[in-house]
Amino acid sequence: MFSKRTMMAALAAAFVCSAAQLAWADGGVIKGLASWEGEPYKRKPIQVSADPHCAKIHSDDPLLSEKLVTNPNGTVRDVFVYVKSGLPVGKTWPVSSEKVVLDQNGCHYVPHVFGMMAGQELIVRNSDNTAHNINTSPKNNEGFNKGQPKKGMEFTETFENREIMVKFKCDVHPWMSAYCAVMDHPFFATTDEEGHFEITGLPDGEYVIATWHERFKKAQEQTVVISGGETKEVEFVFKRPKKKKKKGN
Amino acid sequence: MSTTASTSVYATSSRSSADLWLHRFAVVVAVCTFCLILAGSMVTTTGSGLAVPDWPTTYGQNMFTYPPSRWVGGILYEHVHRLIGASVGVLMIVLCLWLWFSCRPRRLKWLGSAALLAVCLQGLLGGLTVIFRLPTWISVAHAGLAEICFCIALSIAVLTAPGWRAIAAGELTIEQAKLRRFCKVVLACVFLQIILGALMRHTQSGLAITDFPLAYGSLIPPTSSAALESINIERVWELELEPVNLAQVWIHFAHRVGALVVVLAAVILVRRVFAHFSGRKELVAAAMVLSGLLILQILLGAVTIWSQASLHVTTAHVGVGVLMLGSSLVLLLRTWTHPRR
Repeated sequence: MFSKRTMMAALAAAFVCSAAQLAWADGGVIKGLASWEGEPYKRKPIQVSADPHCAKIHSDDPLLSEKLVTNPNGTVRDVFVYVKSGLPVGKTWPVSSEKVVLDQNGCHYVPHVFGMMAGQELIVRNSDNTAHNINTSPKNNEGFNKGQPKKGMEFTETFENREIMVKFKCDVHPWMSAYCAVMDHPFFATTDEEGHFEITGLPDGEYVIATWHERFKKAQEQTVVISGGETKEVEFVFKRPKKKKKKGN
Repeated sequence: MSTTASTSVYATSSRSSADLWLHRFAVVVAVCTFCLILAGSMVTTTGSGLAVPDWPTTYGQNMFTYPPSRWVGGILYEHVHRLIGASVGVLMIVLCLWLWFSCRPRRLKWLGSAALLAVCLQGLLGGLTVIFRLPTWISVAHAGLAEICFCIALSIAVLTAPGWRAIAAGELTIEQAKLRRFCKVVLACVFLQIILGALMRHTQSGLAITDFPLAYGSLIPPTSSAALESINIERVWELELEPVNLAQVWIHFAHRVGALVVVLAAVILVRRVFAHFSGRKELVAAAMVLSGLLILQILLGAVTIWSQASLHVTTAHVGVGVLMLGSSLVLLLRTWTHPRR
């Protein structure tokens, strides 16, 4: 009844529609790079001799400062990228049941920068054979200071309110710090050892994407429009600020 | 010599020996309180105040049985500070009881009770700083009360020293009365400067100005956020320090201005002692000690900045501050006493 050509066209149309629906169901993607402009940043070695355990494990492989890490490919690690605005107003996003893990391993926090949702469970673990305390002083959430004197100890915490950032620190080992962004939606990511980030599942809309890094006081922002579940790429460029001339008081 | 007389001489001699040992013990307590303040200073400088998250236990264990092998990093400073604090508490109990069982004047016995009350309160404040995670005002109060505990212990040591008697009201000359008033002023100035120093440290303002004697190249530090922006770029990127805000800069500067006030007051006091009391060896000695400590303290303040608050220099700066408070107090107390003739 139908010609072969008509049948093929109908099949192709059906395939395209299914693919489009699938794309819409998965949502749009914003991915990209946090690039570093200029000479690679030289990380300073940290003096860890105050704790024999830390001194032993870092005797051949010094622990380096994590305040700013530029990757070998000219990118920046540990930049927190998130959707600042543009999400549907009033919509609440289900809290992931996946637990986030913050580990004290090798006398530093792993990961150094991370995000989680308000109400999501955070497991804090001590994988070191020494005592750590985990001290937070958030502004919008309940803080705590807990001790983990032994290897293998864990406790679970949640933060109920959005806050960028909650700083974790160890007073036994003053060089240790980590930063946790508590978000009210799941659209965030942290750049990796290649400087990449990827935010998936975004509904169509116009978004402001912002960055946070512990060394840079001012956030960078870009506007990205997502439609039809597409993938968009953005790049944030970081560089050492120039010293301004003093104009007087 | 009759039996009654010999007994009386023996009793007097025995009491004098007991009084001497009481005085010596009071000196030991004052020295230990001074050492406790130094230990506390090291806790603040190293940021170890919360290295032991619980109180009065240490990581869930009895603080007296926490094994030394685990005194690592910040735990070393905080835990040792607590142990010294407990020891000073015990010493104060002994001193208080000893005073009450001695033949000392009643006011001295009450001073011993005040010392014990102060050190108990100090221990509680220390616990509160840990439980409430170092709120600024509790931390500053803890620092201030430490100085008061030291002053009370030192007062007991001075007032129990053999060979001194209280000046009767009728004996006081106009110059002595003026000197006494001025000693109180200097003591208050030094104490307030120490409180300012504590406020500076507990608001992370100790290195809010990174040069000395100028403040970021000027006599007066920045007064606008715009001026502070370029300073913070240098702090973060050149000096690897945390950025600061205007409040922190001005708290730091207030401590420097306070130092000038103390210098002025101390110089006037020392001049007055040399001018009118050059025959009173004990006053001249205390004034000379105060002068020497003042010069040392200014140098240490400068080196604290130049060394970016190195642990030992900062601890020495705190220690000399305590000694200045102590020497001002001794000078004041000596205006209340005379050597026995």
